[in-house]
Amino acid sequence: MVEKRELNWKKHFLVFFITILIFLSGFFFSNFFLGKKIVQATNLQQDLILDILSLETQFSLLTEMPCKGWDESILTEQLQVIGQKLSEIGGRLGENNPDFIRFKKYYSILEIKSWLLLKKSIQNCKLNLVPIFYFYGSEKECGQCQDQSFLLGYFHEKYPSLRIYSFDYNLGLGVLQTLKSMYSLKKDLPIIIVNGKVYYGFQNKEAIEKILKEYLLENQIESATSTLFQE
Amino acid sequence: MFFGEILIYLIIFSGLYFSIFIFWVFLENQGRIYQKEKNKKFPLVSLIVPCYNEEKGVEKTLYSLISLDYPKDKLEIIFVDDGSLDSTLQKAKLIQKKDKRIKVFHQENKGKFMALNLGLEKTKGEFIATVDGDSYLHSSALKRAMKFFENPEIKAVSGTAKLIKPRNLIEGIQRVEYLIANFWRKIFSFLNSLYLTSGAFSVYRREIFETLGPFRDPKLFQTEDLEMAFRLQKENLKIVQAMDAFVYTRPPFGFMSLLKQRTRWYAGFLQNFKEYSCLLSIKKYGNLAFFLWYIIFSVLFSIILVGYFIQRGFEFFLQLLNQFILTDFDFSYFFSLPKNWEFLNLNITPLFVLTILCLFVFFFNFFLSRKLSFDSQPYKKGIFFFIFLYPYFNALWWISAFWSFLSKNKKEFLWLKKEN
Repeated sequence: MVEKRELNWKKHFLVFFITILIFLSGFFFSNFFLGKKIVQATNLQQDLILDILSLETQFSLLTEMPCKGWDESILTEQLQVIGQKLSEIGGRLGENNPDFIRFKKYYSILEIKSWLLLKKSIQNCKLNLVPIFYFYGSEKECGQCQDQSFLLGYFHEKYPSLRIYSFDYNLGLGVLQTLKSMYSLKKDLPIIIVNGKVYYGFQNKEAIEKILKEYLLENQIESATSTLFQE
Repeated sequence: MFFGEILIYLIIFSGLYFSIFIFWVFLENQGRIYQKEKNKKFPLVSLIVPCYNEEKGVEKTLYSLISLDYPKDKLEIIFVDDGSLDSTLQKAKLIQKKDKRIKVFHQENKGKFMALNLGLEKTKGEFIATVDGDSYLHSSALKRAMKFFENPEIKAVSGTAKLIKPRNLIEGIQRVEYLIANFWRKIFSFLNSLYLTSGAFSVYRREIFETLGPFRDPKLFQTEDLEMAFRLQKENLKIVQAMDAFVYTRPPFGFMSLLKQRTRWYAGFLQNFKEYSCLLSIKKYGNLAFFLWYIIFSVLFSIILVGYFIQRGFEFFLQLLNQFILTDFDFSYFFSLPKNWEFLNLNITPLFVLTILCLFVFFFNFFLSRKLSFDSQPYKKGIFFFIFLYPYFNALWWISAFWSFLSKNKKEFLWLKKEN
């Protein structure tokens, strides 16, 4: 006969305790890495400010030959990296987290600042770049924003001369309000603004191609050296 | 947090809990994994070999039995042909001519448990061993298993089944499964919670058949081994696992045969569960009840989780299809290498960390099981595909088993409904 059959509560309790500790350490490690990522994003934002300042100064210094040695691509790349980090942080902290919203506001300001600089360089240096503003909203209010974001990403990959600046329509930020009133925007998401022209609602591949055709001639679309676009 | 995420956390937690518990018990008992003392006695053992259409393996099985390292005069082999349609019976008779310890019997096809019971009637041994017709024993398997019976409290010893060199991926996956299951069973036996005596090879004291009756298989799922173990557990009789009493067996060939086998096994498990639901009483059966509850919940959770993964996979497929449509099937975009490698900077979520930890725990379990089973065969593909495919296979087997169990018990369930 088997001796008295009991559940060894003490052992189970200790194992439970150890499991909890290990389980929590998983959260601890993950939060540790998240903290590092936030610091990384903050540093990148600081770097971007420096880059913008440096380019602005460069622009002012070289009044004679402002376009000599001009390279804005670093801004675009950095903005992209920060954008990616931001979406990861958003995924972890939650879209409504105050820290995340603060990051997003900061990022939007940087986007606008780099756009202003880009605009200047397009005018003066005759660069073949097409800036696009894109306003999106939450999944609830804008069912097709996800598809629109994907398509814009697709076009950015196809035409490297596109510069896409994405903004959360609902982000309470003064500078965004100014931007909205500049173009008299109404809330019909998604919104795309190309060269001052506002396009409301989802734009499919064909529609975007048609819009871009106005600014990029077909034979020059693939070529990064063309200088057709002028605002 | 989404439902799926909560479910994954729950499964990870319970998996970690179970693994730590197993490891704890292993550390407490690591000196008792094998019976190191030599056999003091060699009592008469009757080996019953029930066979149905086993012409391919029967010779190897019988030769392995006559070559066992056990006193020749202390062994009788009862071969029972369960109405085979092939040459199984003829082959057994041929081998019988070479070794008179083999006794061959024949019955019309009535099922494995009936063949075992016929064999049981013909035995004289103090101990009864059962060996499957498609399996063969390690020469020391019986000797090693018999050592445990020096302890009069032990009523049954289950052998350790190993798979013969896998012929395909599915067999490779099963080999990993068998290996880990053997280790866990050993741990269960330390806690008096072993709920299975291996059908491939097990040894019982004769007295248990005299007191508890012969083998039973009410719904013919061919899980008489499981039923016997449940019955022994119900009566608080001790079963142990002999980690070094190896029996080699070949799994069913091909996916469908495997599905059939597992449906039978798991439906048999559910059937016995229904018959012996009293074993779920934690107060009465302690650790055994705990493990049985654990099995129930882990099966249910894993089925739901696999369902969730399939749903997510389907969603991903739809999303991809939508993106193909959005780009007018411009596949060049999807196959172009990303210019920005920032995405490689992994998003280290708690789930990611815990999944890595679980993988580590799994590999630890695997290597420990391998070491304790003296296994040095390579497992390259098997282990990789085990991780990715086993959860899906397992869920499928259980769903199929639930279906089979319900259809065989339909009448009873309908009757219950009417009564209510």
